Amino acid sequence: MVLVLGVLLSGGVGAYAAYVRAEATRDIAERIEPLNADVTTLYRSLAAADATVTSGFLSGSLEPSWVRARYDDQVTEATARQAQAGAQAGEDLVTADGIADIAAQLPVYTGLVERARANNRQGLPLGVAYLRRASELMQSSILPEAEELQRRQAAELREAYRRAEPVPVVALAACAVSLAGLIWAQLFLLQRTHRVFNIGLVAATGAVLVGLLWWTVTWVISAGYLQDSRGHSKSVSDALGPAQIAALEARATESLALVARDGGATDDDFTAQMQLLARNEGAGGALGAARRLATDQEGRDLTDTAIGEALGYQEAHQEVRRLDADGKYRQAVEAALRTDPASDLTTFDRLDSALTDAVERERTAFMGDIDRAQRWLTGLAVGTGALALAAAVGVALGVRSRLEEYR
Amino acid sequence: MSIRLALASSAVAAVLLVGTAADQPADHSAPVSQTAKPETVTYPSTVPFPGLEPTAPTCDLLGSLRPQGPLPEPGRMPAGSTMAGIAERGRLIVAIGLDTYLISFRNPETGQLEGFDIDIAGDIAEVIFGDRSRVEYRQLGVPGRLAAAESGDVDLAAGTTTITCRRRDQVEFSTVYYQAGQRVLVNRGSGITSLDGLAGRRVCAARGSTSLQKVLATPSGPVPVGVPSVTDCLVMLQLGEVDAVSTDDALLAGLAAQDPRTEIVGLPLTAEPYGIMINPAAPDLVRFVNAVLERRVEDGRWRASYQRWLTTLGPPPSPPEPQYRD
Repeated sequence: MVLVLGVLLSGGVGAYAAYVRAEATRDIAERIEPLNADVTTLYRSLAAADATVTSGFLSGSLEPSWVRARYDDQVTEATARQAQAGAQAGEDLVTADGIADIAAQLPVYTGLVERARANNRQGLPLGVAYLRRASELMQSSILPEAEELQRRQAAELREAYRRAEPVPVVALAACAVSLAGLIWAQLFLLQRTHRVFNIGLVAATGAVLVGLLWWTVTWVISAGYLQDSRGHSKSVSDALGPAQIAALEARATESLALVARDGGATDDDFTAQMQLLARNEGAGGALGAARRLATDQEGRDLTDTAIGEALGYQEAHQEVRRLDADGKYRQAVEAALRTDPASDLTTFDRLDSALTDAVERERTAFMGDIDRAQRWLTGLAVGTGALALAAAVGVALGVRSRLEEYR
Repeated sequence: MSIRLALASSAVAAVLLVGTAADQPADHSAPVSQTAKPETVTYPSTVPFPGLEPTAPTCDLLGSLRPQGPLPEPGRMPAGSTMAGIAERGRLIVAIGLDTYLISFRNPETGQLEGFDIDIAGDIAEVIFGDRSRVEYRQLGVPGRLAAAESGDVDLAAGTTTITCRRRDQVEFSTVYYQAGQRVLVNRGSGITSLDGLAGRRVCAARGSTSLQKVLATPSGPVPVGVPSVTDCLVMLQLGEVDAVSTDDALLAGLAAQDPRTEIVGLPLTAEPYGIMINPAAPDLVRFVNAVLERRVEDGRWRASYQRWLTTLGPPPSPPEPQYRD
């Protein structure tokens, strides 16, 4: 009787542990990650829209059409992601609230941008004043709100991993005790009855062993995938994501410092943002962290590429900056608008796409690992439970046939 | 959400207010009058506004160095003079104010700086080089311009700078080239006619300016709102965040020209004599600049420049009378 309970208990505990892990993994794959992806893309496209529209003012009163098209795309993307994230936030009221806040401020931002454009088109400095106002709303209110959302998603993710990762000591102990009980019972019967095999008990032992083996192998392998996926997600949330934002904010500051001379953005702000991106030739800052957090060679290579582009962009910026400091404003603006491979504009675009590549790659790797972990965990809970049940039945049958002999 | 924004913006305003008290630049000699009777002053008027001087300045505020002899021909600067050094360098280096429409602003069509103050720099370059385009501009705020002129990093510094005794401790000033006065910009049809009519209302001016102090010192108690640049005041006025902008008329003219739905009201509340800042170690350059200023008044260029940029303020007044301490 005790043995039946023991087998059932160990099976139950094992099945429950497997269930918890499978559920946490499913939660990551189906709820947290999609919302996280939306929030991250929302954050990025907002920062990108600001960087794009400010750079358009460098061309004077006629904004290049590609700038307008790119800005429109980025705002559309932000709006779509914000709507999607809002729908997915569901019962997470804090997140839903944050998204609603962004949704309410975005039209204010785009409204200010349109006023900035209308005035700029007439050649009035008022246009740049509106642009500065819009950019300030973006950088000091909307983006911090998006950042907060992202931080919340990262915390959710950590929490899900915390649920998925622990080794269920109780399940293993219960399983060991049941196995020991089964072996003891068979030895006991061997002494008493001098029959070598009790088919019920042997079958039960077999079921428990198979269950244990399946469970352990699956557990170890899925743990490996979960750990890998966690590494990829951490390098995005803690390093590459912030790097993208820092680069875009630096770009917006760079343009704003050139077009709006009266207060606000300065080259010092640009330098501070680039320091956040890549301090000490790329050894520090967000990209330095990305280099350390990268879990494989491909991740490191992509980060190295981004570091190289960041240094190139900084160099191109220095040239613009030097011309401007020498009072050669027009040459500085011309340098900022040039499109040759080493120019400010091109190096920034390359940096941005290198960062996007790195983020995309980590995200794909993350999704792949989560997917594999999920696949390994498929049926584990049910299977473990079923095997335990079979073992319990085996024990019961085996013991009953012996008991009957004594009647 | 809107409440949160409102809270945020009032917090910003509060910070700005505190900031103005702390980083008020040295401008104590600028007349800050509470007992002034502006009604007695006809405007536009000539320099200075006697009725607006509540306290006598602690220095010879407006006396500059008298020109000596006739102006040299372009390319023939007196040997060894500061002007000869500039001619040799090939360009005049001028620190100028940040974008202020009609005074010094970048024409987005051409990428060139233009405006009332830029005309002066061009006239000076024309006398030195025979070419008014040979000017290199450095766009700086007031403290930056003051420091650049004091250290000699630039030859001249201009841009709606009021001559004050405190600034005179650091730099030499040219004679007065424009007599500004603080007035009020409001939306047309607002019914507001003066700073006194703005009790408890929000009034915008550049952070750290004497204009903002004047708003603060107005007995009726308008609420001062400081922003980085005066153009930001027009943004706030258009967005309904302030009820008025109060600063020098020359700056208000630049705002009014960008928004026909606004108007400049009231009489001047202060006297703001504008001068060009020059390194005190270059008295020859001061005399030279004063000679150029005298000539551009005589040959009508001053008037033409006023008519090109500042007619929003009414017909051209008589140009400021130069004063010298020799």
